[in-house]
This record gives sequence, C-alpha cells and structure tokens, in this order.
Amino acid sequence: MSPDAGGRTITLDAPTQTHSLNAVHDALNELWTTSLTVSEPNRLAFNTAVIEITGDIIRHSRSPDFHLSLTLTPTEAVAEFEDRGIKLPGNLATILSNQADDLSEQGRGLRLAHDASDQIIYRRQNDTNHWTVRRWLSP
Amino acid sequence: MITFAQRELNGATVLLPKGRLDMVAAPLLREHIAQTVADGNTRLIIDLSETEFLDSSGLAALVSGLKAAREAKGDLRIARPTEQALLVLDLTSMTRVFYPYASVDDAVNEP
Repeated sequence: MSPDAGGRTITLDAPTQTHSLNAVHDALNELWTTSLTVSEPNRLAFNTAVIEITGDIIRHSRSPDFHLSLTLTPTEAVAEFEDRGIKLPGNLATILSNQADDLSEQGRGLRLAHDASDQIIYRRQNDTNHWTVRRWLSP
Repeated sequence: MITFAQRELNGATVLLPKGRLDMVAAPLLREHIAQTVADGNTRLIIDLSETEFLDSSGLAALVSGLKAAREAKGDLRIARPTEQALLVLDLTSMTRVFYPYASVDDAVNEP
C-alpha cells in the first residue's frame, strides 16, 4: 500500500484470497484519514461497494491477484480494480437487472455494489478485467 | 477475525457477532447458527451492534440462519444493526425479510 505525494491515492496489490479483504479495509481506512470532511453515509456506502467488488473478484475471477487504486478528491471517491482473471460471464446490466429472491443466499453482491455507488463500470481489455466504482461526494 | 458471544434471554438465544461479518466470517456464522438450531435453540436474535461490517456474504449467512430456524418452527430476528448494516439491509430490500429491531429486548419480546 502506498499513498501518492498528495496523500489522496492509495494503491494495493494483493492475492485473490479472502484475507486480502482485510488489506482492502485497511486501505479504505487510510484513504479516509486523508480527508475528515467526507460524510459517514458516503464513506459507508463507498466502503460497501468496494468490498463487494473485492469479494466478487476473489470469489469468481480466478485471477491469482488483483490491483486496486483508491482515489479521493473533493468531489468523488473512486476505486479502480484490475485483475487478469476470466471475463465477467454476461453483460453487467443484465446481471444487475436480476433481482435475488428474498430467501436466496447468493446473487446480491454486484447489485449491492451498484446501489451503494453512483457509478459502476466493467470493461474487459487485453485479457484484463477493469472495474471502476465511483461515489460522488456531496458536501 | 470474528467472535460470537452467546446468551439466553427469555427463551431466546442472543448471538452477538463481534467483528466483520464478511465472506471470511459468513461460513462461521452459518455453521454456528446451524449448530445452535440443531441443539434445539430455534428462537434466535442476532445482535448486530458490534458487527463492524456486513457484506452480501454475511447477509447470505443470516438468510441461511433464518431458513434453518424456520424449518425448526422457530425464527431469527436481527437487532441493533449498525448504520452500515442498515445500509446493506435497505439497499438489498432485506428489511422486508429482517425487520431491524431497535433493541434486543424488543426483538425477544415482540410477538
């Protein structure tokens, strides 16, 4: 984990193993220490979305590792993920449109990430998965 | 790392997960609830006041526990969710499945 000179970007390279969730939590905590003005609801929602995408990559990507960049500006919090795993099976919009049944024990993660953020983008480029999670920061 | 504190209250079993209820801890909670129900304790209250973080895996473990309790003619209720846990319940519309009680006493005593 290494903050940039301005202290507003934190990067992390980690294996796709469950213990890496702790490293992502630590990175998020570090990100928020660079600004005390971000509201609790914004922080909680962004954290929730980022952890869900992290979990999805760990669970499904079959990549050995992943890269995460967290950026905080006065107007937005952005997480950018990269992994070299398999392509997302299907279209993200279609996946998001599938509502899990109330008593289903799966199928809520990406939808939750979507609903906890203002923008979520998935693209596949050069055999690499790119996820972007963005949360606009209202004053 | 998560731990589960457990106590009995008016015939219900109150479970207090301390830590993050995520994809690491979810299988542990699932197993703990299944064993608790198998032991004959079918009225479960999950006190989320010390659950630092809830993700969709943790939510799935709660759903699993609810199903196990109902199959044994019991119930599983949640109480005192943190702001983050409530956010997850709201965004996933799971408040219609898990009514979040403001206190453990309410969760135990309300019919």
